[in-house]
Amino acid sequence: MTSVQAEQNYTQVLEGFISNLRSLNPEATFSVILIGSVARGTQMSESDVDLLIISDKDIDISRTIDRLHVQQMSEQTFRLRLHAGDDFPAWCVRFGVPLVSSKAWLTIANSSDASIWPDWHRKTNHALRRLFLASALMRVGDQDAAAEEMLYAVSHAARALLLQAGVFPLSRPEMIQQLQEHDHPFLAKLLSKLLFDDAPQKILYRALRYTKKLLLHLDRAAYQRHLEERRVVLEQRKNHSEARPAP
Amino acid sequence: MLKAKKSTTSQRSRRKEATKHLARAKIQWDEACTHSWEPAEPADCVSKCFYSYENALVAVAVALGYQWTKKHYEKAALAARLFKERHLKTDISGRLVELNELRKDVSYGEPGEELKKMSLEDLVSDLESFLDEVESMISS
Repeated sequence: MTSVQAEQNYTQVLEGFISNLRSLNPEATFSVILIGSVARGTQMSESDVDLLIISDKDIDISRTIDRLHVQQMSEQTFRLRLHAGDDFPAWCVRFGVPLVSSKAWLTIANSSDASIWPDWHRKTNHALRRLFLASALMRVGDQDAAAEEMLYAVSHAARALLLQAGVFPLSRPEMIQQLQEHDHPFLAKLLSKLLFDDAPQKILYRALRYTKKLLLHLDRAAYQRHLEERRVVLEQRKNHSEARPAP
Repeated sequence: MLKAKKSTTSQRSRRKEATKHLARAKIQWDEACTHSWEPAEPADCVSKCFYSYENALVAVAVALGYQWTKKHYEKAALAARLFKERHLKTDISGRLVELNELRKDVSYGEPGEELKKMSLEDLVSDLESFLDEVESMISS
């Protein structure tokens, strides 16, 4: 598929989705924001089209088996997350492409909230969560799932590093360049391998070790906290197994 | 559209491979159960359930000699097809799409609002029934 064909394809999918959204929710006021790699024009052939919907009430979104990923939230939640230092709304307000703009979106985009800098500590927590999940998936031999979760873990860790350095992370393909420019060549290489190649087990273990070391270096207290949470989960699991009747 | 692959491997080796995928699905279900208890970890529970459903689906595909790919949306389409062709009693295609969305929300960082509405108890219970269905299908 050529890039022009791909673009036409995306346009058709989005037009169909928005038209459907309007007919399903005639009373609702909402904004539809194109986010992710498609918004940055750095998408790959298999990339999902990511959308954010900000609405004044719960709206009906028809679920379809295609590559459209939709996240919905109220204006209030969006603002709360922005003020809490979450990088997701901060990314959306900086780089999102409004396809349908409501008053709420325009108000946020033109307010001082739009320049709130995300808290990089939150990203280390996100990275740790994905890292532990990837590690658990590796233990049961689910290599495909582990590779996917490892990509999330490495991406979150990379965002933490960049935000800490005062650089706003762009899309994942662009972050490879950003990491190289800010003297993190190994992390850039790992991200590239996980993003573009079928990462073999060796790479996954390397990513696991490196990301763990990096997160410990970035935020040792958060790491210890996650280990403690994990200990509680393992204890629950042990009790669960003991309480279970023998087969 | 995915086509049924003409099997080049023996039924015995397919069953062995399918059993491996099902065993993986069961471990993930067991871990998801733990995450569903108070204090619940909805994000981990949903992710583990999603991967468990996918592994169970792959087990069915392998047992029947169907082609499958790593892509999540194609797995959902395969689930719909296996149900339509009556290899499965339960259509899990909608559930796969739903869990993939929730899982992706989580992967952005914070859990999305829809995750709060999800009944984790029902989720793991439905998954358990599906795993039973897959197990009896593979062993029959």
